[in-house]
Amino acid sequence: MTAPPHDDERSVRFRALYDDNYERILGYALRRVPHADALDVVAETFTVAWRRLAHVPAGDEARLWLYGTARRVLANHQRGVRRRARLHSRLSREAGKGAAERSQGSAAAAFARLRPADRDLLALVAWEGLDARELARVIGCSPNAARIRVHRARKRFAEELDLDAKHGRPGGHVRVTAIGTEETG
Amino acid sequence: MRSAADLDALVADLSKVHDSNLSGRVRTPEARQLFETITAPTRVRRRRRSAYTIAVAAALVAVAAGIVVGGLHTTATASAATALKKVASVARTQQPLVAARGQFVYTKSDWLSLDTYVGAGTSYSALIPWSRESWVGPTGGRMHQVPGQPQFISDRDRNAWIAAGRPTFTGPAASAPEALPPARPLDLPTDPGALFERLKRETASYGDRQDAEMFVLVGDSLRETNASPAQRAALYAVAARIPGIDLVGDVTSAGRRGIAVAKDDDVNHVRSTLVFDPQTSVLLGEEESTLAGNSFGYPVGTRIETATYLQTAIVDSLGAHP
Repeated sequence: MTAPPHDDERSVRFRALYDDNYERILGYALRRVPHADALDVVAETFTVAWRRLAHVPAGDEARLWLYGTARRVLANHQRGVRRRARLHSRLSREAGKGAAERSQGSAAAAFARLRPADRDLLALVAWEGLDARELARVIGCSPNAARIRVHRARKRFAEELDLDAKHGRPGGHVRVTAIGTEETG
Repeated sequence: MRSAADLDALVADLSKVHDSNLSGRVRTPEARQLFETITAPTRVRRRRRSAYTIAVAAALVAVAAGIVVGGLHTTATASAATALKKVASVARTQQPLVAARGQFVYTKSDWLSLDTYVGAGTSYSALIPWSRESWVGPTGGRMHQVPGQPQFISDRDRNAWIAAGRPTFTGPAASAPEALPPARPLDLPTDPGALFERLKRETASYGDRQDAEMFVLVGDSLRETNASPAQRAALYAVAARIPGIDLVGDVTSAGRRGIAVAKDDDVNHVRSTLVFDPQTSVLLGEEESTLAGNSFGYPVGTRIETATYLQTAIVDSLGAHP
């Protein structure tokens, strides 16, 4: 922990962090929750970064720190009542358009059937483009453990895809927006 | 058999939002407004957790964080300045707590922090207890916080939470250990006059609550830092010079005798209290409580954040206990 830097210095550093990463964190949030919720997640993530600027690592590590923070904010966020109400109404809407959703294909359905933790990992790799070392920083484990977890998640995803192929399972409606963010409360 | 790349490509195709489509969004009024809101100098700024409220995109999440003492009973017999000068002289005589390469300063503390959720038609708050351990060293460190059961301040809060379906305040992710960057020497002058001027400069934009913010910065610099004995002495000496510091007096914090001093923030209507050990100058605890007119609508003196520092020691490996 370091001395509180001068306000100007602090603001300059935060501005650079914000400008360099706003779009990435917005993208991260938009891929997982509806627009209004995504804006909340972005706001809260950067508020945490401002408050804890002394803990934000320098250089490219800052990006990973922000992903890790956004991931925690998202997990917390979705337990809020407002989110709960929105999710409810969104699911009601989606239930009414099942036929159209089926055309999304079995990949989406197989993905939706995965455990939230597996979806979280696969999405961080495929959507955020993180490698094992970066993933390890974001989720807080060793790179080796991250490699193993992703390998297992990919294996389960492949098994789900195969199940669909074998049984001709319909796609069903898919909540790809709710990745890794299942209600736990 | 599908390759890892094939599987990743299938997942990638499921995303309808790509960063390339968001290019330039940081320059929108929405993004600039958020930046201004976050960095606005009127908020209470705290290094660890803070009492503040942000309103963005029709959603409002208020987080207040905290401190603790566990029953403040006062016997104010001397002025705050005298008490702080005394503890400054004690600080100067203490041995520094220095973690060599491969070592870590371990701190264990208990916290209570107010979490508030405000949404469409409802809002509720609860104090969340946190048990916190940190390891800070020259090669990096770790922080591990584990939440406990929410404590509701009022029946209204509890009932609103029940009506909302009893959502959890903290998820499993909240308990995950967090990496800390390598500790650097605390960049603060040891001359009290120079330190006073420095903190005054840093808080120049805080207007009516500049004095309160200086007190916050003193607390930030004492809390889980590697401040040297001379720096600690200077911080206490500076606190003695901040106008409007009250001597709360003798208090007990987790069974230990301490001296408490407080500063009112008349803009945010909260009172910040620091408790230190008069024998060693060590920070024992902190507390933040409400004043009249507070935005929470709580009675005066409601604790909204507490921290009790239970143990500090040098350990020889990351995650080790003394």
